Amino acid sequence: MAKKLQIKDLNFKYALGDRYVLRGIDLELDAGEKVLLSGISGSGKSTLLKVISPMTSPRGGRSGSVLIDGTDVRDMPRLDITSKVAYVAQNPENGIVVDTVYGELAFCCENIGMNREEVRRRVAWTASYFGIEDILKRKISELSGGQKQIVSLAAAIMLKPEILLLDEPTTYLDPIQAVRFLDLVDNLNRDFGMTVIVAEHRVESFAGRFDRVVKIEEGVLLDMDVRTSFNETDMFYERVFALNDGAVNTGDPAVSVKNLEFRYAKDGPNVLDGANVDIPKGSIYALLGANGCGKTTFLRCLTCELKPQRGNVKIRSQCAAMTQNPLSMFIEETPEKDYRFFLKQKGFKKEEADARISEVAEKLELTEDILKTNVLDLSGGETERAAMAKLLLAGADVLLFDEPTKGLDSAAKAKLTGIMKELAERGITIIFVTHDVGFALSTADRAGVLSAGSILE
Amino acid sequence: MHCFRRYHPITKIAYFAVLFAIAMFSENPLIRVLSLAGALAALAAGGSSFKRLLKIAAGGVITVLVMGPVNCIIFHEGRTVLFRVFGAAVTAEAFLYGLSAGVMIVGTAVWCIFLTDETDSEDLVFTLGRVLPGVSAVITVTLRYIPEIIKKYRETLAAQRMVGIFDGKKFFVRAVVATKVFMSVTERSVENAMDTAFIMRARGYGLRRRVSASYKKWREEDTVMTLLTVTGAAAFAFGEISGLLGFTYYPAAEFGSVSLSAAALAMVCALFFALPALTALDGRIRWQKSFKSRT
Repeated sequence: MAKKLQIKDLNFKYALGDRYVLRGIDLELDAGEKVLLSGISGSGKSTLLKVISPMTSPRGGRSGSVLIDGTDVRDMPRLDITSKVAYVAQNPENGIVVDTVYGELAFCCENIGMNREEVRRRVAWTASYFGIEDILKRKISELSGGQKQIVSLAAAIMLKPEILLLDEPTTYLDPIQAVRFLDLVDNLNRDFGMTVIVAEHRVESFAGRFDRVVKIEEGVLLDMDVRTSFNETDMFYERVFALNDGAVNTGDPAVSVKNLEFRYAKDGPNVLDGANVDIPKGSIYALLGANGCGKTTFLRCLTCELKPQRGNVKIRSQCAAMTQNPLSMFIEETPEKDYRFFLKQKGFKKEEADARISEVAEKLELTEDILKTNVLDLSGGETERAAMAKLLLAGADVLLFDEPTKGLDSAAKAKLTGIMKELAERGITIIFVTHDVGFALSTADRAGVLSAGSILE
Repeated sequence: MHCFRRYHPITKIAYFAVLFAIAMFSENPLIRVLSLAGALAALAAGGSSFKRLLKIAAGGVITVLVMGPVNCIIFHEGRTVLFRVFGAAVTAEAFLYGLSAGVMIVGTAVWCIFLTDETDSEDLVFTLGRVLPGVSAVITVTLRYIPEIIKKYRETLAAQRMVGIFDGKKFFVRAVVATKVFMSVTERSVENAMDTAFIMRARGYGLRRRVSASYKKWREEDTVMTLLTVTGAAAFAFGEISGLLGFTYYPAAEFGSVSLSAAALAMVCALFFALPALTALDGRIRWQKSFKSRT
């Protein structure tokens, strides 16, 4: 019996590239098999997923073949491929096409001219299966990131595909949303026998859910034997609070927060309700907490972007903050142009600006190539470091980060840890809010948990 | 309560088409006043806050009071000369015409506010989707991008503020930075649109002739509302053609007819303008009844 999906000696290079990003890929999947495709950023995971279907394949040179049920995809009618292979993009912001949830679910079916009643029936069934009935008439712009990704998945399976390809679908989700999303993928696999390939760099967290784990390294596919399930929440309380045990408070704190209270609505509940914390100079402080507990609000109060109703914040030196999306730090095409514009606005002459940029670039391992590359073409880790450089160029001694590891693979995270520690050694105070317990434990020297509006240490 | 929202897009389009035709093309000041009153009543019954209504009313009063004198300065026709300015006659008829035009402008503007409150992109997509499904898909994709661009603009501006780019800067520098932020956000949105185009292709866009499968349904009340719309349109058309709803401003201001028939037609128009407010009141009563039955 033919395999559901066979990839035979697949090689691929982009139209504008001169090297092969996929080299001799061989992979066979049975119907209903679930495979985790791991690998660091730029290893070729996304390209492999896209090249499987001609409907999603980027332009470029390819050799080898992809077969679905024994038929080469290039010989299959396009409508068949669209119906059989579904693809979900990494970023839900770009993976959704239209402006309402209903419209998004109906989009696929409308494209193939399906009967209106059948479209309505399918939308109703899918919304019910995914538990999104309550948001069916809502605008996409009103949804959370997690809801958007679920809508994206629901829209992709509207044609009842046999193969589901997911490109790092949990990158922009917090751990709870990520687990919920992967549960839905498990259900699709179990209930409909869908063959699933998920590209993901968080192997340790999710490997236990998959039948097989394969790794791609510089375009070459390797088999992996990683089945350990790593439950981050297990060690949450034991180790996070333990970080503060060995911490020593010396001198005046760099950041001091006293009885901070903040609420968004006049008669609403306090998001921050008497939050207190003292953070010494040169330390790395991680603030953890559940989704929507007020971590970002806390950070925005520190930057004076939000004015608290009660309490006060004292920051003894210059402070600068980075939002969840490091791309928003740039308003010019390349990091270098952006830094120059920024320093010009800050009143620096060209020579001074050059010297400062070189100094900061060296500190953050930003090569000439990175500085001159369009910010949209940088990897997650490179964008993060380039954005961090802007904070240092601002002359800040207190750096604030909102979810600094969002979208980063383990190698980029490790590099970020190293850089943060080095900056702290030079007397720079770093405060970050995160869901990433592993990163907090490996990077911070003290930590707090925001709960019911207060910081627990 | 936004009860008008629940009507079928075709019902709403028909109603608003007739409404705007009457509100904008009738010269009769009575019809114009009725239109304005209907628009304000629709907003009030629709649940607009008192503050919002007060703002709209204040803007409306100013517009009407400005239009009267402005028309007197430009036009000097009319039999009733109030006084002369540099030899030019300021007439009561020109003043009345100005006020009447002001009422028409304000009435139309308030109806536009009501229209945006009571319709959404689904109405547009549904209506266009039947005739031009491809165009409706392009519109809905564009509608998806507008709030995204606004959100990203705000986010990027906040990020620039957080690194202190605006510290002590004057208006000009702020404007330059804001423009740069807008340009970069737009450029990135175009890049994102390419990713979206890729997803569209993966989901079969362009494979076959598209259909539009909106969830909007035609209900009994749509038939009733459409019949009322047709009645309103017919009454207005008859009044205009027969001259019963006519009005002349120059040389002297006078109604086309002062008769029972004219009053009856004006009454039909008044009811037509009151339909959205009545729909909202009906919705409120139904809600109260339903609520009471639960408590």
